[in-house]
Amino acid sequence: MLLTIFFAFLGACTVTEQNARRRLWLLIAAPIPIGIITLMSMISELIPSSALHIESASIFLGLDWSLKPQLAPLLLMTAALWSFAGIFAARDFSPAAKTKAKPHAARFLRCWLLTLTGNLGLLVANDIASFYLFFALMTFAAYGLVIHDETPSALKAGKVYIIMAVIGEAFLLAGLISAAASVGSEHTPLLQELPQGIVSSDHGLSIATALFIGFGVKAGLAGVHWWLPLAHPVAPTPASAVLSGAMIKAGLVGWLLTLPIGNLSEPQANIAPLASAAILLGLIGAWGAGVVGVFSGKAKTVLAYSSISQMGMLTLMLGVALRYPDSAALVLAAMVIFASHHGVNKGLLFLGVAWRKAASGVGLTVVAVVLTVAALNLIGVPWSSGAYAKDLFKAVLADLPVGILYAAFSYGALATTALMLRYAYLLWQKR
Amino acid sequence: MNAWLPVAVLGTSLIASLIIFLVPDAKQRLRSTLNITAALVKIGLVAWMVFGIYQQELFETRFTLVPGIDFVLRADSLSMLFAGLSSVLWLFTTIYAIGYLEGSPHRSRFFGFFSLCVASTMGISLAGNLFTFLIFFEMLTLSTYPLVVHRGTQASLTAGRTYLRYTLGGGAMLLLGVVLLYSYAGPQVGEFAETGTLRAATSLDPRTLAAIFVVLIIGVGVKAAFVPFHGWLPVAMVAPAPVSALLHAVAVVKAGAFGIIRIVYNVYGIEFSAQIGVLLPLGILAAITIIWGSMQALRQMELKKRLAYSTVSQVSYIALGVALFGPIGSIGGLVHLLHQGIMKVTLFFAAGNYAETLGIHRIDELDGVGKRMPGTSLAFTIGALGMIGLPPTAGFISKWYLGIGALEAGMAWALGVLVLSSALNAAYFLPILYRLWFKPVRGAWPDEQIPAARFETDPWLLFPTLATMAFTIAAGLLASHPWSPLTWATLISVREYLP
Repeated sequence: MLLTIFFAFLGACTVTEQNARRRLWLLIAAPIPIGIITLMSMISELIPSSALHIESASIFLGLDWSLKPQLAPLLLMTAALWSFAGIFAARDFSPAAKTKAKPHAARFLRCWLLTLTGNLGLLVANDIASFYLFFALMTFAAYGLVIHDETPSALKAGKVYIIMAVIGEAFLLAGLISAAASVGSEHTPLLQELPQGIVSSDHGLSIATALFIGFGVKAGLAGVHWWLPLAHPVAPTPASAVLSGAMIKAGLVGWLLTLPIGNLSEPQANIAPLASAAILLGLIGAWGAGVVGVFSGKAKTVLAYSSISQMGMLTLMLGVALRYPDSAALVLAAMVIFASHHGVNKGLLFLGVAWRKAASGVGLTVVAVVLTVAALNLIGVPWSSGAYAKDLFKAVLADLPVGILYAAFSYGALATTALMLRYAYLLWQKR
Repeated sequence: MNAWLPVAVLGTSLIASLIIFLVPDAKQRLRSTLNITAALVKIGLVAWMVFGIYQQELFETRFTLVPGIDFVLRADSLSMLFAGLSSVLWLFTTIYAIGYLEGSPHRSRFFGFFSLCVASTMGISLAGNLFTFLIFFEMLTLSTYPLVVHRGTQASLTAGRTYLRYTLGGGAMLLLGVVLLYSYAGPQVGEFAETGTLRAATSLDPRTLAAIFVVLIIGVGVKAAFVPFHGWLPVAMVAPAPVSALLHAVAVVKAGAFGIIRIVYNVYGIEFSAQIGVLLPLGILAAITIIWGSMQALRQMELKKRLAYSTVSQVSYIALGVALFGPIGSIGGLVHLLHQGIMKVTLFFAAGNYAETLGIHRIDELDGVGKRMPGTSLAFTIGALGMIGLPPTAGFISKWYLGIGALEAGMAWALGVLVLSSALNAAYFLPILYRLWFKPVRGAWPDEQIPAARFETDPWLLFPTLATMAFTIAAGLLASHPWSPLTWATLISVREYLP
């Protein structure tokens, strides 16, 4: 059943220059099958777990995919956001569009579907080769989305994007290989065996750091984040939405799958400095992106900075999970909820930029309401999805001896508020 | 029967070569039939031997030339790795060459030497001792020279001279090394044997043996294009594309790399080599070559030159794998012998297609070619991703094993070299992919020879390219399949390390 992620890939194979504008429905339909399967697995036991697990000893170094319950919310969010953003993308390229249809439909369609395959695949992969394949597929295919409009700024952003991506992949390759070597088993280890290998290795800290940086490039980690405000806004708006909403989470997923979080058989004292670094960099990202972001003059750039800020909060949570193994399980659950909530709302806010241009009259009011709700969610006002996600984490944090960290995290909402106000101002000022 | 099989394998190309020399140039169909039949027969024979070796059968032909010096052809698991690669790629290169040289003069001469070259390669892979190896190693040099200078232009004659100067020099060093080894340790150490033959010879001075090792490695290192003996390789790219493919992927550089494997594993033995301390210098030499080759490749604007420097870099992965003491590193080096072959052949086929179809030789002429030649460009893309080391291509498997092997051998710096090399490969291949797929066409092609009809180019050129592309993916995707290159390399490695 997991092979449904290849629906997008197969779709990409059938696209030609001639039929591209008749295959636009793929943009919307491709993620739906896996989304439905995920949803069914979440709400009931109807699907036997054996149907959600694929193994093959002769593919790669032993292929192993499964739908992991703890990542299911993220997978559902990813599929939904891609499909929803696909509606906007299909409209951009439709020959019946009111405005002029965008050029290079075939190229966009292929890149979109390949990126989607990568983004879905990395959420189900358990073996290192598949995971690395999907991660790389997503990264490199997304280049085509970033530069699609081929404006000078898009091309420049694309260059920075690809250079940072290659640097990230290099850290990742080094990290994955050395983590796998540290496991020291006869067979090639699966991703979930890596954390144990890292804590038992003498070089655990350097291995974990390589992985932290390698995935951090994608996750907008402070220090290696600067490609993100360039690349996310220049892509066509639907692509910006999936870049900032869904694909940015791939870095987070990488962290969650490979870093030694939670109680392992050996104390993870050797990675304590990394935990502190993650907390610190998380704070810098959460607050710093807010300060820098409010000075930018484009709505989409403000949103990109907001993504860095939100990912900063997730990085901080990662640091706490690494630092306090006993609370890790709860923090992890909070992170997945937080990431899913951010994906949906950030996706909506990005799509709002396109929506806003197209809508008029009553439509405009609807847009305003939806975007206001999304922004309030992101800020985390009471009764919002943001408040729910953050409260999960704060409940854990309250019991830990973390000093001012609780306050620092809570008031991160101020940065978000400032960014959302700036976004609203920029969006509504252009009339 | 078993005694004659190695000779038969060698004979198929040798006889084919002699007959082809006699075929008049105009008899295209006869020559092509001969060529392809010989290639298919050889693949069949090699497959037979591979199957036999799985079941521990022995295939050996031996006769004594002078007392103490035997001429030996023997099929062991290692020789099958190389023979399998050459016989399969020979088929595709031949098909490609038939399409490539259609209508050009001196085709019988070309295909005659082409077959002779493959016969030498077969001889190298089946050679059972250093002496036999040396004979075929020299024969390879002489049979490739006419191919390099085939076009007869001033540039190709100059390149041919450089080629001869380097390779004959290397051959002389190898000869010197063999003579020194035979006279110092006796001819019996020249016999190739699993885990090596020198291990037992404890009475010999390790320093002398290490010195002879250096001479031998320089001898084969010229063909393997180690820095600073690599100068001939970028120059020799003036040859026609199928020849470049042969030089880079199947025959010459591979013969050098294979020689290193033979000397380290089957003469000195991996454990003895580690004892006398020659593995680390070999590893460092390989590392320098890997990085230096990539840096030079970055600076080339001519497509085939960039590929040539990329070969300099990639072939040294094999030597690096050999230098990593431990079974995993060995697997990485051995499997890369095959993987580099199929990936590089794909890239050279694609480069040849661009040149033949559109007259494109330079990288900045490739703008927008992806739309005009999608099949070739897809093949080039897969080959390039393989060189970078991304799954699902074969290159990822090589890099994975080499990386783990480096850590297990306690040589973490080698992992750094591999990662840096990946980044450099990305730096010189990704811009090409960008031009192929994203840049708009600049105008008319430099020199369009083959118009787009049913296929983007001559099917004789297109299908071999797509076939090797499929191998590149299959070798990575099905790496753990019982009949994959990786499984075979694992078998060899296990036999080398088990006492």
